[in-house]
Amino acid sequence: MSKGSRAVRFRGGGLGLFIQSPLHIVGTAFLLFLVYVAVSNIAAGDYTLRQFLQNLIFGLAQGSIYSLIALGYTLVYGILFMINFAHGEVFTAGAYSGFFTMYTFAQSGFLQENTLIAILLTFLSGTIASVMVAVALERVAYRPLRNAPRLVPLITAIGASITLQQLYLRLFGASARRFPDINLYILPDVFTDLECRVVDGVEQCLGMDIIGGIYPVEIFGIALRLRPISFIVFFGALFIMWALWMFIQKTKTGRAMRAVAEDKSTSALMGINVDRVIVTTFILGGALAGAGAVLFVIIPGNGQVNPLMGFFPGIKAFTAAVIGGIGNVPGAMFGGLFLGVAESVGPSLLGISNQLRDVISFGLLVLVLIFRPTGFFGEVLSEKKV
Amino acid sequence: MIHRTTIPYSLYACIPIVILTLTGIFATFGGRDVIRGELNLSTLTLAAMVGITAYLVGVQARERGLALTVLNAALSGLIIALVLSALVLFEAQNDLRFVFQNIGRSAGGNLSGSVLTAGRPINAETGDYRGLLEMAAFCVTWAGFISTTLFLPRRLREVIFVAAMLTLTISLSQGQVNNIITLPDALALTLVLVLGYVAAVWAEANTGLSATAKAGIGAGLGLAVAVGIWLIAGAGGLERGGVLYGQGTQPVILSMVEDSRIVGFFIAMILAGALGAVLSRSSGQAHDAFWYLLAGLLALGIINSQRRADNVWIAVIGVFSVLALALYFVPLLGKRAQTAFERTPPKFQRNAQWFATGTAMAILFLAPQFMGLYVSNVFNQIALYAVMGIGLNVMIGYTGLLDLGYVASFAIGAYTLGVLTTPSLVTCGGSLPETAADVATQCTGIMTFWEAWPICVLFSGLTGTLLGIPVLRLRGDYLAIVTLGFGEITNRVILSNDFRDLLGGAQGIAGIPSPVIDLGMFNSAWTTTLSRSNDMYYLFLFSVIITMFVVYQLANSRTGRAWRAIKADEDVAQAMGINLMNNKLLAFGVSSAFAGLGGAVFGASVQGIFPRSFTLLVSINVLSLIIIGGMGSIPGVILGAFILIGLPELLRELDAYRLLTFGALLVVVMIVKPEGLLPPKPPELSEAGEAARRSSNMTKEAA
Amino acid sequence: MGDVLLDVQTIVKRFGGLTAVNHVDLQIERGMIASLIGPNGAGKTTFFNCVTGFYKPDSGAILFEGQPIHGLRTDYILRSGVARTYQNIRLFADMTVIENVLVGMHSRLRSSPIGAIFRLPATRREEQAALAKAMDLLDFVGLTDKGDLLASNLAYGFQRRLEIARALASEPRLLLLDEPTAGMNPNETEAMTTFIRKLRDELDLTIFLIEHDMKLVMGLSDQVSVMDYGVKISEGTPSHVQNDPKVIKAYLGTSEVDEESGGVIEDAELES
Repeated sequence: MSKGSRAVRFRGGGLGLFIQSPLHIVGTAFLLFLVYVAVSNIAAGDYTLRQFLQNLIFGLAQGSIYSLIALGYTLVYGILFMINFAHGEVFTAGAYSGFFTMYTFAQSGFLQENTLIAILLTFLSGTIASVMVAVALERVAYRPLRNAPRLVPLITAIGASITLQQLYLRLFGASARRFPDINLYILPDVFTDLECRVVDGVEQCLGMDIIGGIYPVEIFGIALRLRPISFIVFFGALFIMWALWMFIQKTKTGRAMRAVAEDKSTSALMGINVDRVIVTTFILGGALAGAGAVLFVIIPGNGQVNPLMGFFPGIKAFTAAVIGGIGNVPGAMFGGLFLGVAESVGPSLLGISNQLRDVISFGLLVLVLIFRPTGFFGEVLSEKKV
Repeated sequence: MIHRTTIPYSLYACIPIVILTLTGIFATFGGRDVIRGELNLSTLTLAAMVGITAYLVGVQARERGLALTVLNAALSGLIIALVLSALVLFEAQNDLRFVFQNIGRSAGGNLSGSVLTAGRPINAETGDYRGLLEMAAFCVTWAGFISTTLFLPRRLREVIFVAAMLTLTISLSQGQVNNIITLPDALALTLVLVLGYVAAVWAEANTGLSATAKAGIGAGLGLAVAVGIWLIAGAGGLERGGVLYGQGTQPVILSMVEDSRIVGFFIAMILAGALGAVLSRSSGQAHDAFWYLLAGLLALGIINSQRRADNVWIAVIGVFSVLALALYFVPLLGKRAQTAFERTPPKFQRNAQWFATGTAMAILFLAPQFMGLYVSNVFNQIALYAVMGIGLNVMIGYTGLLDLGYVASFAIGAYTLGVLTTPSLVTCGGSLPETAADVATQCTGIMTFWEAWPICVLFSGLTGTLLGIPVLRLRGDYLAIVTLGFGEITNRVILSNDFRDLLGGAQGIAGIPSPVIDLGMFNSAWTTTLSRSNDMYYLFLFSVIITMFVVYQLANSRTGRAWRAIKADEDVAQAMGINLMNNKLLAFGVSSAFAGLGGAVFGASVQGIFPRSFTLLVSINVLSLIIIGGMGSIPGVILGAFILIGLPELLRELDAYRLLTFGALLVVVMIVKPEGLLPPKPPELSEAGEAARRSSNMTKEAA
Repeated sequence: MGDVLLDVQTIVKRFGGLTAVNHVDLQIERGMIASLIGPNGAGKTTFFNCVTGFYKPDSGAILFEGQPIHGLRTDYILRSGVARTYQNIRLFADMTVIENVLVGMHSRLRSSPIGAIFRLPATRREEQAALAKAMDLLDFVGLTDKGDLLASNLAYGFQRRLEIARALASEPRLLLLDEPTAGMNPNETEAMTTFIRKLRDELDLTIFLIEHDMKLVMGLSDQVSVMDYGVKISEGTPSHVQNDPKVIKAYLGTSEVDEESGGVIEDAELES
């Protein structure tokens, strides 16, 4: 007995941790290397605060869109425990629908006259298209496989993703479509020195262009060139996420969703219509992706709509969802912002070319999975998944 | 009267049909003839759409009798026709070309003018809508007709369907396949095989001859036919217009009697006769396989002989009848042969199997001499994907690890070969030259293909294993995404300018030397460069055989069982003493090694590699053929490679819809038949187990 | 005290705020049939999972044949001689019956992948021996002639037996059975009882089982331990446990029961 009672505390986790530790060493070494590169870049003066702020703001805007898409992954994962691989294509649907709507408005002149209404209608059409695709996906591809082994719905999802991509390609053509330029001028009385042009010899100032404009700003003595749209996208996305959070927490449907995520069969016994909850989840995910898609194409410079455009944002949003802890709603929001910033700040901080942005996201994904497979916020799920 | 499902089903069917119409499928396919001048692909596509719908509707209404079934099916055809007409008319009023860029272009509306208006553009001004009416009439009649087939016996229906599909496929790819074999060749082979077969069956019933003696009779008959052909050829039968020449091109096999290959011809005929005799009592699979092959050759022979004929229907009907007869009768005879096979002593069974395998190998070995460059290139593609499919199957099918970054290992194999065998500014066998211009003249590669090949395999295997380490603990979906990331990272790296000197950046590595078989030490003439596709064929064949062998052996061993246990239930497998880390890493390594093997052969065969050959699409292609063929099944993967890689190669014009079909197939297969077309057969170990037990008891008693 | 095979020393396992196993001590001697009983949710299966390595206990020690095995990975624990079955049968469904048994033998086989590829003589001999042994095991558990069926195609009772055969294939010295008769009718239960005894007698195994069927437990066990709310509340011979007021209280939720009536638990369980 005396020998045993000494063994109450384990020797560093025992052999069970053996696989993990060398990995941790490699991961840590890699992280330290990254920190070293970053620090030396800063020390050498190759990286300035100005760049950082500029990248940060851009990254937050981009990241908030990732968050919106990531929420779609997380919601579906939380309930069905499957990755909706085709979610990126749901995003594309929104972008196309938004594009065609906005293009029509731009052609008819409606855009120039009622810019705000046109934008809102564009959001509406993008959201509706995405929701339709998401719901169709659920009905056609996923519902028949509700109880299949894990690999099966995943492969189906990959198939659905390819199918949709190719359908867009055949339907709408391979060429990238340029989103119309939008200018929305506000507050001509406040910003009396912006967007001025001379018409018939008289100088007219239209006010701040909060969508197409880019303006020099000086903060704490650092000269930046900022786009108001970055802030609009960021806060718009935050608002949408807040609305979603309220929906999940406060409404009856939201409660049903949480119950189904916890335990499908029990929820069914308690009288919850599981199918309807799942469809609702896809509707929500689709709506978020559609809104995200319109936000994405509205940012000048992003404004290309093409059949494959959803793939990478989709994968990255998934990465974001994993970083935050998949199945976890605040986690997805955080993960998206984190990834957006890392991707935007990372390349110049590490002194690598901008084309390697994607490598940074995947590198992050691998690092997170090594150190914290459940993501930053994802303790709850680890037991349930097994 | 009208079944309650008829209208909803037809309307559901209209959704994909309308979507496909908007992709311009009818316009794209309109220019491609399936049967020259009689049937184009566009019509066939519409027929397939209507046919499938009518079939599904008909199945529901079937219990109510023939008349009502036809009525329901015809109604579904009518609904589709109405929806399509509405679409055509709507499009004629509103130009949708801006949105749907591929929709087509035609007078009187972009959708008008294709099969949707039966080739007669509608004309709103003159009120000419006859085209739409014709299309509707076609849909209704065709739908009704299809539903009548529901009342045929099931087997007959299947035979007709499969034979029709194969006939159409052969007809569609006529241009590529009509030079493989001539009708006299095929008929001569058929004659010999049938003679041998019939003689053996007759001997079985009427004499007590041993199996070997029967094979001897078959061989003798083969010899007799060969002599006959030789005599006829001597009398001028092989000249143009002669009995043995037929209407097609010059016979490939028969003309062997006229030159130095005559010995080969006689041997081939004797072997064919013996094969015929052996087949009458061989395992059902071997029996069926050879007869189907023969039927295929006959079909190709017919195509060859009719390739310039005025009446295209002769060829079509000929091919269809040959295939249908084969599909109907061969399995019946196969059952008979299997029964006979099981009665024969084990020694003969073994010999028969060896003989069949040997003949199959000989056919595979000689095939490229007849196939021509294009077809052997198609075979090479199939073989390449078969190698990769069997390799990836180790991960997906056996171990249950979904790897979407398989292209990474493929690329590593190809680039390793490129770097090692191709001279560049960095890698140069000899002194490094000053300028890039001198590389070509002053450098050789570091090593030859044969030296580099194993290194490529090992290196891919090693990197695969290393990539496996960080993702060991991840389950299905995480693993899929992370491996996808690896694939993308690999693609970025080979594209990037940072490694341009070594990997060539966007330009890739051009001028990879072809493998040289140098047996100059025995005979100075024995040196060949494997540069043409029908030479590379042997390298591909060798790769497939190695891959099949290694994976088969591993799958049926302690390791393979561990893999499948991991796939079934990882936790329990570990609790049964299986070391997850070792076995999973081994799966990663083996799988990647075969991708590397394939990559190296690929690099050598195309003599130049470019980053755009190494995209996610490769991984998706391999994944699809595994899923459709059958996870964990080697024959399944090979079938998958034939269907998914071979067919599209022959039907190049359909490339636009290739990936769309793959994606849709993945979804459909997973929902309808998740085990794939040829699921793996569980090994039957009882008998072996009994034998093992007997022998161990014997040893014990002896001791 | 005899030869202690399994020595569990005050292990604790918590899930968040819930303590599923709370300072449980338990010893099993070699050659015993020991049982673990308790109401649903008492922590029995969690206890099994701790012993077999599925869970790592938060504190405490588990010694098997004097060697600590707590915190080890499941495959190490199996190799040291502890095998188990599962409450909800967990066979390798797509593999045949023989293959399931062969997987069970995995840890006792040596052949390497290289040996497998080239079918080296040593590998072939080992495979032959393994097959012969698998056939013997199938005969032993009564699955003769079912070797080539897929495990998922077996009848329920046979699946239980196959799970036991798979565990036996690993040549364990301690066999843990998690509710071996769950879902069986009285006849099948009777057969299983005989079978468990045969296991112990013919294979020199020590058996530790979780069971709800009191008749089986009381008729079979040398030692019965009772858990309730993660705590071991009683232990001893069947008759001792049956008369322990704490046990009766745990099962019936009241202490008002006449302490003399030994058969109470049995009846209560049989009715449920």
